[in-house]
Amino acid sequence: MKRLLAPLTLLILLYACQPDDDNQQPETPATSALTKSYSGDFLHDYFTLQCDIVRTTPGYLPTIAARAYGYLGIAAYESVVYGIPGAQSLAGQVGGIDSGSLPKPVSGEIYNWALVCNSASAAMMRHMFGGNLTDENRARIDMRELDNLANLGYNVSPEIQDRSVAYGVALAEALYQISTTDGGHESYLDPWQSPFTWVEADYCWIPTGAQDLPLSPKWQYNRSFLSDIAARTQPGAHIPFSSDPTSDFFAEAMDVYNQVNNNVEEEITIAKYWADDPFTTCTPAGHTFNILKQLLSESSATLEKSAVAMAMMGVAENDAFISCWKSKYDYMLIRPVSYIKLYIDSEFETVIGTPPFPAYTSGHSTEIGAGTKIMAHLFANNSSGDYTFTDLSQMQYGFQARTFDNFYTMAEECALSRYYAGIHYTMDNAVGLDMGYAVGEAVLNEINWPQNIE
Amino acid sequence: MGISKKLIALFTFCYCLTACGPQNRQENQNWPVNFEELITLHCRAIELRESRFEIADSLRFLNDSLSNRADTSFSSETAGQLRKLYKRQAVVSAEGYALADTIRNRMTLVMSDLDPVQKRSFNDSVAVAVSRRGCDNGDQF
Repeated sequence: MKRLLAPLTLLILLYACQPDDDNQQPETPATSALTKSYSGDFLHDYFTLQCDIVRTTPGYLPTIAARAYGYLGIAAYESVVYGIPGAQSLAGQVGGIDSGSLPKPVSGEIYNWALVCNSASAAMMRHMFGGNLTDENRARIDMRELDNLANLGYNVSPEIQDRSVAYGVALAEALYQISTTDGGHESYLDPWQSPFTWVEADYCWIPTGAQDLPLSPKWQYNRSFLSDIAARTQPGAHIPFSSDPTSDFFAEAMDVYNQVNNNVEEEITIAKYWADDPFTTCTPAGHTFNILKQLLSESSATLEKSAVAMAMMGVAENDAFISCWKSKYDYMLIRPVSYIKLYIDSEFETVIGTPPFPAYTSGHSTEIGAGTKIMAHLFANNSSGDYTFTDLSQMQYGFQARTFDNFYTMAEECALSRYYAGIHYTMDNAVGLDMGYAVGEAVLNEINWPQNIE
Repeated sequence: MGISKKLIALFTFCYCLTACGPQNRQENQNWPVNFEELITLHCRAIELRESRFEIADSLRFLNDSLSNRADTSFSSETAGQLRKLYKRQAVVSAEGYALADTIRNRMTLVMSDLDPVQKRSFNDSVAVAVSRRGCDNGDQF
């Protein structure tokens, strides 16, 4: 009994000597805690909110949404980069963000990187949706920021909180100012970049629905994050246009026609699953970010890994759209639905509506290709992209979740979905995927990202 | 010997209870969520998804027929049809956004502790339950 009493008394004494929570002094660390010591959950929540706001904000069509995601990802990374040992800022590494153009933390001062990231992310979102941000969505960003500030700032001294918040806001402001010169500033106000100069030719895109003007015809001139990425990843010419029934081009169109008319139920499901129409979902780039976010959450990713991953994906998606839109408007290729109605069957209907821009190459294929390279790099067990995961992101829109055992299998299914839907020729998808893979590879290889992130 | 018989009888009774339980027992078991409620939400999401695509198709076909007409005058009847469709689209979208948030939050909770095999199993259970309710219209939603 005596033997038991001694340790018990010791435990009671230890407990009694713990400081009372109510009287605890705020944290005053000697140095800033590393970025990897924080959870990435709150950053994932910002990307969930980004998705919600993209789908409810006027003008947020796929090109414009990809750019907004891009800057949010970069803001997240830059806000925590000085808390990652050996990491390098993107300043001086990517287009528009010159060395010395971003504020830096004051040497010797303590920062809470989660709080920096919180305020930078919120400020960047407010900037990117600008004048089209509704009061309701602005309130959602404000609430998210305040909620995070309360949680992440608990037990952090007011000085560190203020310094961290001010640094995050300054960083977002600097990035926003840089964004205003990239060619996509406030593009949500005129997604059609009118006036548009029409080209009259048989091969040329014509409107496929109520929308007369094509989306973002000048997007290819936007400054990309990777220097000259659009020119470097161009695929070359498509199969020569011809209306001759014996031509290869006619065969491509006939292939789409036959596929659409013989789709099985699973193919129609796939076509709709990956459609990711604006204002219903958060666009194709948003879907890819949703998958990334889910995989990060499932692996309990730290703020370090989350911020690096979001920046990689942000650069990849933004640049994939610029590259893809260059080929679209360089070639101005007619959509399958228009060609088929003119030369094969005037009664032809696609599975879903065709978006208002030219065919070659496929935007879905290019963006998923770029995103796949990033996700394979971050999560796959080997270079073949093997990784088993279930994409839960479309359940919210009434689809059954889809399970994949390999990232590239997922990318190919997304690309194929456009063929099943009758939206794209197979060449648009195959070439688009390769373009996307090239963009993704460039993002991974041409930027000095931190290694061994946790 | 008498005790053994009682044990055998008890064992047989328990086995029968398990074997003769409701068919959806496997769908519901062990998932950290109100499964039936989730299926109800999911069924509604399927209905909304079908409505969205149906409205989009109607708008597409209406616009197609407008562009194919030699007479491009915009009749009040067509304008009325379009107005009605856009109104319906807004209503469906609004409900869809709210429902999407609810489902996403539920799914985040339920999935956070499942490994990839369990997730696959959960999704199979959802598919079976949705099919049992008949809200997938027989297609692979």
